[in-house]
Amino acid sequence: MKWQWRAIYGFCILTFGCSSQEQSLQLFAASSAREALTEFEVAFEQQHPEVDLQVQSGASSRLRFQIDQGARADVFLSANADEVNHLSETPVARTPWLRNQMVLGLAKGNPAKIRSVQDLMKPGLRFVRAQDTVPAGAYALEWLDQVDPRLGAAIQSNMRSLESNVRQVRAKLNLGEVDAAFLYKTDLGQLPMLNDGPTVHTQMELALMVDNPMANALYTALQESTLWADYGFEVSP
Amino acid sequence: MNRSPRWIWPLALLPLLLFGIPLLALSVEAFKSGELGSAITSPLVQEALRVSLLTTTLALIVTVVLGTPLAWILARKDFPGKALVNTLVDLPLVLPPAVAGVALLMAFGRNSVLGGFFLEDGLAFSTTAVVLAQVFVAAPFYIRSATTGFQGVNIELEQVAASLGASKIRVFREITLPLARPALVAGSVMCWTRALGEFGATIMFAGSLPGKTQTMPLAIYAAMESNWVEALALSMLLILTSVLVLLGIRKVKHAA
Repeated sequence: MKWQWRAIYGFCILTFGCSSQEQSLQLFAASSAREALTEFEVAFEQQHPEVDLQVQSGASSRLRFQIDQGARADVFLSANADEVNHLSETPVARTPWLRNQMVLGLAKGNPAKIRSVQDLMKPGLRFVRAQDTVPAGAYALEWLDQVDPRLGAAIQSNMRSLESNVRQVRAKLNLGEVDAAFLYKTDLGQLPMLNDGPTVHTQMELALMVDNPMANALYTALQESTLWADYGFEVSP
Repeated sequence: MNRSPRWIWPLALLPLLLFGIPLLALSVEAFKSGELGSAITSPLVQEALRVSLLTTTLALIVTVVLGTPLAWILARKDFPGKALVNTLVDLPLVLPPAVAGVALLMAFGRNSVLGGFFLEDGLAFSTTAVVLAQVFVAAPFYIRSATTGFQGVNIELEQVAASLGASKIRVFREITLPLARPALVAGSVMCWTRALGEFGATIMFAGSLPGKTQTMPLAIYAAMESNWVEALALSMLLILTSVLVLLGIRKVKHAA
């Protein structure tokens, strides 16, 4: 009988073991900031060994929904100001923060030979973007509003899927399932982009959701960190 | 002899509460909103309903046409590798749907060998992809049930019919099929219901485009963060369907 007890003991240690001593902080962040935040998390936890920073990433609209449904977030980094405006609880503090750009990314090697906006009229092209309710989708619609309405309609009718967050959009482009996709410039990686399309600037918003010293420290540390430029973000003054 | 302690009753009630309360809460919330009627007629819900009905019907037809011969062989024939075939048929039942989605994308995507064979552009992100995903995850329910049904048919009845001069086709149509019917119907209903609820494989392999690949579960997911009442309305429709299906199956089983 002894090994069963050992197994249960081991399971408990594995499941509940390491979290007891540390204070945990919840950062809800737009999926486009995921890699940068992974690096930030390591640095922040080195500076604050007593804190376990947990990053939850996804579409800002979904994160906002989760917060409204009772998920505990100490700091919320949203891809636009809208999602912060629509939170059911007003944040303790908020500030416009990282800037980015909505671009039309092209599949690896650009097999569809898209060189200019005119090429987007080609029949049979395959596009993908985020759904309207997701910030990346709203920015994509902004982009489409700035081109000739006929072209905009043609692109819309060639849309193959409306994804639930911008990283799902990028996955479809990385797999080569589509020819072009609406994503953030920082999401491109090695992928090419359309250079003569409209310029749509995007603005992230940082919100402090609870008023306690640790959350405040995170809120400030995020803004003081210098790694954002390395990931292509522009820190707005 | 059949004495059980009294405290077993409240204990048995707990799982029922777990199943019942969320469904009740959802229904109350849906009716409380007062917009259920307008949500059901909204374009998102209507299109999802249409896509779901179309794709699940096609998935069921494909499953019955392709699954019946396989079920019959599994019930009646022995051949080398039968255990392997049985495992393969059971695999989608236990495989996480997300895995099915990735696998289908690798097999039928634009840059895959098979996808390029069928269509230059692959099959992914189309209504066909929705049907394919549904067949992948739901067909085993039909095949399993049909196999059991065919196994239950008394072979002597078939032999008598054959000895009286009935052709093989006629024996199958007039003896085997009617006797296996309850199992075939129950299997079809289970298969259709599973296809209707399909989410993971569909969203990964077929994407989510309203009016084309956005089925009801995908529409619920999309509506959660925008129009909450539409998500509730779709959920209510799916609950209603599930209840009707269960009642239907019970009736078929009783008739058998």
